[in-house]
Amino acid sequence: MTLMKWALGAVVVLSILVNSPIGSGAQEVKTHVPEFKLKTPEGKEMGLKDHLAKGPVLLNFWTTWCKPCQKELPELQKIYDKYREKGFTFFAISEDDQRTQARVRPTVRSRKYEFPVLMDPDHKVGNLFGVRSYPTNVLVGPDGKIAMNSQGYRKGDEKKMEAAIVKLLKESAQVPSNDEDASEESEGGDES
Amino acid sequence: MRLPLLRLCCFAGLFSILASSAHSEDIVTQARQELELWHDSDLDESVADERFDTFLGYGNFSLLATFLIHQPTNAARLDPSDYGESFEGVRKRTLEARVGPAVAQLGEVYTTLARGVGLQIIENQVVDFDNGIDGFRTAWEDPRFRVELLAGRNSFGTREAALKAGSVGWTGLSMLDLALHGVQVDSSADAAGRARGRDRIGGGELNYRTAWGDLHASYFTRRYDPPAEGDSPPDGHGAYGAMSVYYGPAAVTLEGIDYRRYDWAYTIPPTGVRQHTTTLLNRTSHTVTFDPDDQRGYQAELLVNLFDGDLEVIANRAAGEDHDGELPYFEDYGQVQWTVLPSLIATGRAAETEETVDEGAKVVFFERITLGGNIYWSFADTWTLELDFETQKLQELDLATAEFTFPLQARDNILTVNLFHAPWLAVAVTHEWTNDPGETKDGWTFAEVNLQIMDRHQINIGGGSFRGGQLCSGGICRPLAPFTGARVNWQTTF
Repeated sequence: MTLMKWALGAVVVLSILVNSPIGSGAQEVKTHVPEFKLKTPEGKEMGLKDHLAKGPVLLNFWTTWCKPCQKELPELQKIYDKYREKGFTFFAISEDDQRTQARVRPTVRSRKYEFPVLMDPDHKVGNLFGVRSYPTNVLVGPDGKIAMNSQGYRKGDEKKMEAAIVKLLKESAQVPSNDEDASEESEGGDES
Repeated sequence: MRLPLLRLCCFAGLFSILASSAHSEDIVTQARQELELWHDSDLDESVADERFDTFLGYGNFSLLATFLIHQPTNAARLDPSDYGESFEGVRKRTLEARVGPAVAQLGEVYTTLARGVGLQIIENQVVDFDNGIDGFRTAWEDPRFRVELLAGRNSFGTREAALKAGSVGWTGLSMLDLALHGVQVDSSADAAGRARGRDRIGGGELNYRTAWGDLHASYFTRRYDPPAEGDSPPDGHGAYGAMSVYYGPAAVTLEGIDYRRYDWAYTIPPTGVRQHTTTLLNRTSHTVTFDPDDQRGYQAELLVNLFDGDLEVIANRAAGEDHDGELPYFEDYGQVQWTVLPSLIATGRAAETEETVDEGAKVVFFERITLGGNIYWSFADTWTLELDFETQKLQELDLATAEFTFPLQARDNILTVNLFHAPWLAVAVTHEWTNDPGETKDGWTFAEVNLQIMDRHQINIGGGSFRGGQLCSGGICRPLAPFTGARVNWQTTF
């Protein structure tokens, strides 16, 4: 009976939220994300809003000890390579705390990742986005609203992510018309 | 139950109204809910949690608040989220103002100084959920200088500690970073029953970065006031250093630690012990028996990626002891990952661990030899099958009464089978079995389903029994408390 009450309570709360603008459909009014600034392992500070002005931003919360993250990051590197010149920004936000913080730059250097890595050792930004497990991806549109939030990595997830990025790039008129093929190819599920 | 639900509805409703009125682009709203239900059939205990995190920003101001309903039938026996005793209401709230390079916060505040050696007040940590300070924090930072001040009382528990901290830092030459930190803690009592006192922790850190390597060093002293009678040395210290060198696809990292009388609630310093991903190695890591009051040691790791990353090799050695040269530990770890085909990745790993632990009544020697492997096979475009196996032979001996002998006396094994279907489904079954005579069970089987729904909902349904520890299954990694029964977790980001 207690569980029933809990389930009912959750439904009530979610109903309130879903009926409000913050919880309405993904195509309508979406949540504005909070601004943040973090540093790269090299000490350079980077913020979200500066890059949203150029196009969509993908936030990937990962750690050096997370196995699925290590499978996912090379795929996200490919997406970053493909769309970085078209306004897409990718931030790999390391949630490694003090125990593994010293591993971040060696991992990035050895695996030759070229995307920007940001350090969030006390999980301030992770907490802002409700990150509880790794990896977690948050795709933010140029309008500053969350277009997609996903946890975990399943091989092939990157295709859906790429399709969403292409859609946002098109919406923000950042994708030149001769990229239609790339967009269709991506939405059709072919791996780049 | 009616009252907290009413409160939660009021809280969510108020937030909803505020968000509804957010016509201005200056207004930023963010919300997230997490519902978790547990039932442990062995303990006949249940836990029901609903957590609602909100962020509301307007101009230079923002408000973060967490509404929590936590209802364990017995928090001491089953509290998987580490929320503590039963709670209903606003658990955390922080008001923040940000103007240019300056920020001021009022409410629950958090900070980390010198990689946790100087101070670490961290939110939503795995252990103890949260060790926030209820008070005030302000910081000012530009590319060259930074200043940070923090003051308050511990926000949960018996509120026995008043904490003040200050930090100044300087960055120069684009690669050098220096900082001085100081912390003062006034406590009415501590866990050991020490009388009311004032402890001072002070020190500094250095960071140096170049294209070919990094260096971090931090050193702190802890002065006890009043000093406890008979304690030697009278003052404590904490020292940590890390250095990495890069050459092509190779990276070598060295870490050193030295902690003496340095155990207190608001420092969680690096351990110099490898953080393992897999369940058995993670569960039996020296981190579990690490003693910041008396520990010194080092860790060295080599990471090499060859053939465009198709072959990755990791070799790690960690070792240490207490300051009398007793209670030694060491661990050797190796891992090879080979991308056989774009759709097939194979990983093998091996470790040997030895440690001597003072358990109070006796000194126990542990030896563990661990072998493991992982196969990750993608097929039919969106399907993936992953098998992960780990086996650990172990010996646990009171060396005062028994001599070490081969073969080792017990073996733990764990097998996880994952089936993924991108982008929304993961099914995982984890089975662990042992012949350890000290265990009441010889097998644990846990099955779970992870669903990703409509781009913003994640649902995890699990059942069976799990021995506890770090578990990477269903495409995510997280710690799980030991239990037998069923659990449901539903997270939504709005």
